[in-house]
Amino acid sequence: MKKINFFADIILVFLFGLFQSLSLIAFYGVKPNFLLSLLVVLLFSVKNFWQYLILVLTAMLSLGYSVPVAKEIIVFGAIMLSAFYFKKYLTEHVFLSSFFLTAILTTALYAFIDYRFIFNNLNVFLLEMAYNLLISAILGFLLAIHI
Amino acid sequence: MRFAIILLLTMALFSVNIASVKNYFLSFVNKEDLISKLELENDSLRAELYIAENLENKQSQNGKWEYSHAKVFSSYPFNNQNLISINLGLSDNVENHSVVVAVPGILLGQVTQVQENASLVRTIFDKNFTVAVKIGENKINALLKGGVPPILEMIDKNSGVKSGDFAYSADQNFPYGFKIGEIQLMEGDDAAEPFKKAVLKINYNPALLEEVLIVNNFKPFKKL
Repeated sequence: MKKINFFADIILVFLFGLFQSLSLIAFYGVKPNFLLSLLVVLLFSVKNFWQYLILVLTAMLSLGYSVPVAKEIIVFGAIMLSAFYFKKYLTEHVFLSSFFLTAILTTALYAFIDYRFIFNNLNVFLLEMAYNLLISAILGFLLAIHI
Repeated sequence: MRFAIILLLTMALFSVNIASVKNYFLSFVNKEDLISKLELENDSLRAELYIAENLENKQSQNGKWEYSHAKVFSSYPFNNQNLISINLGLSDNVENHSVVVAVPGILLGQVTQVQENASLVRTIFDKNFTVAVKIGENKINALLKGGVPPILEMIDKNSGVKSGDFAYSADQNFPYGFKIGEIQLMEGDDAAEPFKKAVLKINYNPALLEEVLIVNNFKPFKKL
């Protein structure tokens, strides 16, 4: 059952990535980062680093919008992988940890790929942050993780 | 629950992304994409008619431009840029800074990076996209700043620009007269401000674009 769940997680990550790369959903012109929110939630359900690495690599593959792989995708993957090591410093309360991690990772993503975007488009950045936090909460509930 | 979410996402992706499956479902259930395509085609014809009736050198515009059809692979997944990836590249004689349109006469963006078999296009919805435009029959000057939606800035307060007026390209890096959108909302009633702003209405959903056109026989003056 655990193997089936992990396989389902891989498919889920891939589909979320495709969804995001097609930019199908945007609220007031701002696209939520579904993939970041999903990976944060799954961070608390994977058993080891290698499982999480597979999920992150799947995410990067599904996000790939250019060849060779764009630096933004590499930065995204690196940030998500680094989150695995910071997990141990977080509280045992999954909901609070997801909330905190989603906010930190969203900020880190734009800080590394284009820090000026945060200051020049603060409203867009904050709106995306709000969407990501909401999606993390919903996904956590749906995937039956204690939130 | 995982499998339910997977099933829903798969259905959503297939209904939008896979052309044959989408067209199959469209013929029975969902007419929205067909309506969107017809609206875009209508917009293109209206733009060409507007150019022919109102702009200079109208005879030279008709049938002047040659296009290559390109499929849209995907789009930039984050919010700090608005780029799309298309399936034509160096091997198809695409050059950097080539002009890209949604349909003939409707400006979409400009090629920003070219690889052997693919290219990246910066669209008018990108915050780094700027282009000089003219508005309406009186050819009022303005500056388009990319975004969602694009904004027209530096419009003379006494120019008489109104909702519904067309905005078209008047920049040396783009073919003259390509329609970009229509004025939807005017801003800037403050008497202290010398200029007005306007929100541009775009009559198509960029997320639903499956195919775009590259203008083959236009050489931009310089890069964006």
